[in-house]
Amino acid sequence: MARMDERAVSPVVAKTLAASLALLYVAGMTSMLLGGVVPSYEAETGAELSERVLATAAKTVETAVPDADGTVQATRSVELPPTIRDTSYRLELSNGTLQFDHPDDRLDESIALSLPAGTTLEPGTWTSGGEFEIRVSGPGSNRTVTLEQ
Amino acid sequence: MRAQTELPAIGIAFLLLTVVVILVVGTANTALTSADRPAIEQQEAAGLSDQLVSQRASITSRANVLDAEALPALTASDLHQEYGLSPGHDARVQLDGDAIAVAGDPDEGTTVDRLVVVEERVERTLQPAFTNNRSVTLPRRTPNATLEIDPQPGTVVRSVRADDRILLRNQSGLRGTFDVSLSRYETVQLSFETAGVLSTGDVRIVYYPAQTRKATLRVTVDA
Repeated sequence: MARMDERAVSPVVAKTLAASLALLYVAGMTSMLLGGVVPSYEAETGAELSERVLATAAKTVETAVPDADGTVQATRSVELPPTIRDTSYRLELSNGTLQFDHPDDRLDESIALSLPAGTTLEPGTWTSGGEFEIRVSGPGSNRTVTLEQ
Repeated sequence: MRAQTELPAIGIAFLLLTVVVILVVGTANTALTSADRPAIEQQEAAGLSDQLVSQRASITSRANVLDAEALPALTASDLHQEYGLSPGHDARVQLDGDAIAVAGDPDEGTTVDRLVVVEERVERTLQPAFTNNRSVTLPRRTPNATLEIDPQPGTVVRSVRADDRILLRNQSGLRGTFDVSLSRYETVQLSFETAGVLSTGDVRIVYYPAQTRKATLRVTVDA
């Protein structure tokens, strides 16, 4: 009887050992990936995406303002991602620049807009979620750019 | 003894798994770095070059046509203030390889090349002979011209017309130097209405036809 008990111990110990080793390995790998690799990837893609969003928005504003003379009344819109890194963000138009504002300050960026002389930028803020829409109106010498909110 | 074979098996499995994970992370890294594009820099270079050749820019005479005389006036602060280069970003504007404006010290960066026409006004003088007629056709188009009318005694120039439009008119006689503006878009025939005969040297016309050449405008922005 005693020998039967002893015989059963060795496979149980071995199995437990193997199982705990596997668990330890998986836990270590997971924490390494989630703790070190994934967050840096998230930050990097977030920064890249926010740069592209800002560049796309700036391009939309710049192409919305025509070079030609004459009075215009036009709107132009572009689809931008509703969230970046799972949070909504804002685009602020003010003083000749377009600013990207995110709760994560590391993603904040700004770009100066290249617009024809005599273009007035109405200060405004657009919050992500809908379409980014720009309205341009006025005669050639004095155009006004408004951000639809 | 039999149970001990399990440990090396697990070890080998972990080793394989680790290799796979390292490979996957490496692939992801490569994908991420290769997708890295300087989006803001590119947008800025495109926007800047767009504004530099737009018809409203102070260095152009019309869209895509640079005014050779206005080019030296382009400065680095113009790039920031008039053409919308972000503060702190460096840029270089080159025309056929010669730098015409440099803001900061751009190194590498994004480059946009544009084909443009550089226009230069050259001064030409014409002294019509007025044989059998009292009109002269300017051989090249010009936005403006200077007429020097100095007829011989006894001849009175009453009016000057450009095609059918009256440019100058004085019943008692035109004499002296007159600046007139003409159409840039059509060839102009100047007709003189006179009492008396006009001959060579009585009228001198200075006009300013455009001389154009193609060039490459290169805009480099380093954000």
